[in-house]
Amino acid sequence: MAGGYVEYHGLKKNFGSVPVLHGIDLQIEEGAFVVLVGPSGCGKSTLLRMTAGLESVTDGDIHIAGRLVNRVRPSERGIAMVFQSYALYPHMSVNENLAFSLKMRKTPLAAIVEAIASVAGTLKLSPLLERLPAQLSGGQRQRVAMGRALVREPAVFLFDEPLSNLDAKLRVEMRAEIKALHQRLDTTTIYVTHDQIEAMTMADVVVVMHDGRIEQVGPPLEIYDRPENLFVADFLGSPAMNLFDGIVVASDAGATPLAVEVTGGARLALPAGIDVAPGRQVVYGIRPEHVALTTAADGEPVTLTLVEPAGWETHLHADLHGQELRILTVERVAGGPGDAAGIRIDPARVHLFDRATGRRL
Amino acid sequence: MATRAGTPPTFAERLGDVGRGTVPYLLVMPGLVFVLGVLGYAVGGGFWLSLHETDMFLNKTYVGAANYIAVFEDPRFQAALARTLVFVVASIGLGIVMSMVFALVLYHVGFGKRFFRGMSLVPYFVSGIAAAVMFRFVFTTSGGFVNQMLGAVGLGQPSWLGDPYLAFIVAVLANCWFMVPFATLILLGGLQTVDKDIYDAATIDGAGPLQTFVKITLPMIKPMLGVSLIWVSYISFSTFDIILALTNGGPQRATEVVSMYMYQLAFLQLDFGQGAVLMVVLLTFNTVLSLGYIYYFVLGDRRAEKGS
Amino acid sequence: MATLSRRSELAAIGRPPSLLDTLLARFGRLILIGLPLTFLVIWTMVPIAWALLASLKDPLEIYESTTFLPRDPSLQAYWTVLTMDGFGKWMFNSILVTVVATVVPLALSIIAAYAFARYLFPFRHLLLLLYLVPRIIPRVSLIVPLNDLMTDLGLINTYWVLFITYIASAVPLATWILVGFFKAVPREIEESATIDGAGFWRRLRHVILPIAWPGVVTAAVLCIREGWNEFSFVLALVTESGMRTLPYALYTLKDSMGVQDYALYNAFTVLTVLPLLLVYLLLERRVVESIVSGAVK
Repeated sequence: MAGGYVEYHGLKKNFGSVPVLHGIDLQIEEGAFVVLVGPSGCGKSTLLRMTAGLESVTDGDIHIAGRLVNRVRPSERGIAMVFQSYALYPHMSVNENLAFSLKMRKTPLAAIVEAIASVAGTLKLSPLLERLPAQLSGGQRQRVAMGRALVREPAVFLFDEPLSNLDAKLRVEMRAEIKALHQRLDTTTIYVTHDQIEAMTMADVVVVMHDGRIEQVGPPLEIYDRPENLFVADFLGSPAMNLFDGIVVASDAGATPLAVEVTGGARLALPAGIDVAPGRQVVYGIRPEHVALTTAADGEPVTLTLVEPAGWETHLHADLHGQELRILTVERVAGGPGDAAGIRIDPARVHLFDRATGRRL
Repeated sequence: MATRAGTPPTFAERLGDVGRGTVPYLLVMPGLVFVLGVLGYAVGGGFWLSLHETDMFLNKTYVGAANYIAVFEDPRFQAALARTLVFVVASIGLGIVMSMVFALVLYHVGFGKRFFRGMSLVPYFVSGIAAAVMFRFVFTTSGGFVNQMLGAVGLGQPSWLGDPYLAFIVAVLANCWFMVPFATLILLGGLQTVDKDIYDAATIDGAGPLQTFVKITLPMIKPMLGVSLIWVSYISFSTFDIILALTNGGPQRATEVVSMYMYQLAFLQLDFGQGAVLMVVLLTFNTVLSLGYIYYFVLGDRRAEKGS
Repeated sequence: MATLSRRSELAAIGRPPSLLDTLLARFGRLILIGLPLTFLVIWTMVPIAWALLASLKDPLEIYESTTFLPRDPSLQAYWTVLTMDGFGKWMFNSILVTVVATVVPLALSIIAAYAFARYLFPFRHLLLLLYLVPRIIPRVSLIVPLNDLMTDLGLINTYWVLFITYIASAVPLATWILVGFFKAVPREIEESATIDGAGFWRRLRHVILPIAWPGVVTAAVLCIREGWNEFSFVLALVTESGMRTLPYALYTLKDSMGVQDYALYNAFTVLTVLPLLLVYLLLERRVVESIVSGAVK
């Protein structure tokens, strides 16, 4: 079978007259861990819910394991879903929560008992089986929600922002646990989040969505290193990439023949070998960690406006001829607001985008 | 975020197995058949009846506004209407004050909270007839609870149910006994929604207990106050079984309210047309009052919230 | 005197309160709460307690102005009521109409409330309004046209007339309560059940109803209350003695008794009130919680 395990072809969704997905085309390999990431309202949850069958398809097709599932009931798609609120049945014990889907499928009792025992072992739920959801901690509830998905032995796991109700420490733990679980089971997983750290750390493939469209698909580091457009460049990375409007000019100094004169007048270097005509309207992008801080005499002069020591790294804000520049360094910085400094940019790390289309050049 | 046109369809609507289109109507219809078939018909039929005259053989003749004119010129009706208004005003005044006091007590009481709450609602479950019978014995002239109490402290032995004024007061009390518990719990619910930090803030700002109550508590429980007002005025306007069994409208018609006179006209004098006019009167008063409360207490607040 | 005012002055300035201040504050609080609480208890319980006491007294003792407690408590009056001609039938009538006027409205309201809570459909606001407006129509005001209609239909003095009218007035009440409780069931839980393979009826039975159970119980208790205590309709639509319910029978007791046996009268009252109070006491917590939480209006 050509193509992926889960496939979307020209998938569209309207709520009333408002379109929320404008034709999604995506193929997901069997066993992949795919993270859909994007700001709220980008359509990532809708796409997930359509995969689950909780939303109808306005136009286009969804295939799971080679089968067209547009009109297949949620329970018969071979999927399992973990909800943001966990959606545990509050009146049922952990045991009954895990057993519910199997009972609905009229699974023999012995098989149910066996399945629950195995899942409970995997997720360390065995001592909690008789408790009600209200008697569990947040992390335990999260595990039960996962157990309820596991027990169905689905072809595809769907996660809808499953960690957003946990505190920071637990989130890191569960992140690792979900990833480990996926490595063990190798089940195709589609995971929705707005948290880019989750996207970067967990995914085999990241799908960046915006306004009902896919902006870029690829392995996390590839997306980070080569954002295809301005939206992805701006969305991924914290602190965000510096983006300056500017015009390509002939370089008067330095090793490279071209530079960009950004708003305010600063001239910033471009990598050698880039093929753009002088005079072109562009957006010049450089990640904060690729800006080196030097002395005022040494580089492009800036004025520090804010210094935020965060322990092992330092976040700096500087004024570059009226433009705000973010700098991230692992050095301790002695200066404070108002101090003069200089910056130096590694031309090889520069991202250049067309101002009109937003595409990478 | 979601505009009205763009409101996502509800969950069930999206589900293939429940279907869409006619399903919600099918679910809603059976109950509506009863509600509209009986209550809707009764209201419509009442208006229709009020425009007709019924003879002994239940034949009906259209008489236009004749019944209305007859009723409004009838001094007995005028007296009953005036009496009803006094009864309603007295009941609402006394009832709301009692409900508020009881709600505050139940809110602040330190021990047996659940017990007192549960007990306070008991009269709500006593039928109007039974409540009236109980009150008759509490206010019996000779040997009644109240007069025994008065006798014990050396006071007189009034004939509570024989005296027109006193009987009216007893009727108001019995009505309050029946309707206050529900209003109390509604108000208690309102009190519980007020964040305790607000009281602390008011204390720090220098407000005394009374100022806090008037300036903070009352405005914050306004919607619940509206709901309990709807309840007490609804009960007071339509009071019937309590008065029927307590005084039967007497003595000397001192407690003959509109509903009592309506029963008298329709079922004892068999004048259905004029009886129906009184129904229209009851309905109109009650609806106008309820809508007024809803407008002032509930909607007014909501609009203010939206505006801000 | 001077020291006392000096003392309270100091206390007002913010010195830690002395023992006397604490005692005064405690005492003030005790009075402020205690007095109205005592009044609440007396006000609520006296009519019921008095009926209970009177039902145990000798018929003539009630006329005496000096006996508070029964001199010689006797259950004779209860025996007389229970063996009274017709009492069994009235009790049966009351139970029958109450059960029908609870079960049927609950069934109708559960499906209607589900539709209102979960579907967006045209005219839903109007339809919900049609369900709810009857809550502010005084029941007594309807007895004139209802009597007229039911006479035309030949239904006077039948159980059907009571069933129909009781159901009609209980449905809006139950629907109103249930819509709120159903809406409060998180949607994700139902979606999860759908993925688990539960269809409409199974979701209703295994997910919605168990989670909204306090609402169902509250609606049931209030339907029972309406049915058991209803008086206007039975007065207007029933004339035969054998078709009466307990409140109506209690009302007519006054007329039918030649000699006034007050103990018997009170025993009858207690017996009509007791079954419903037992139901209430059994489920008191849920009902009170529902009302206080604003779910019943």
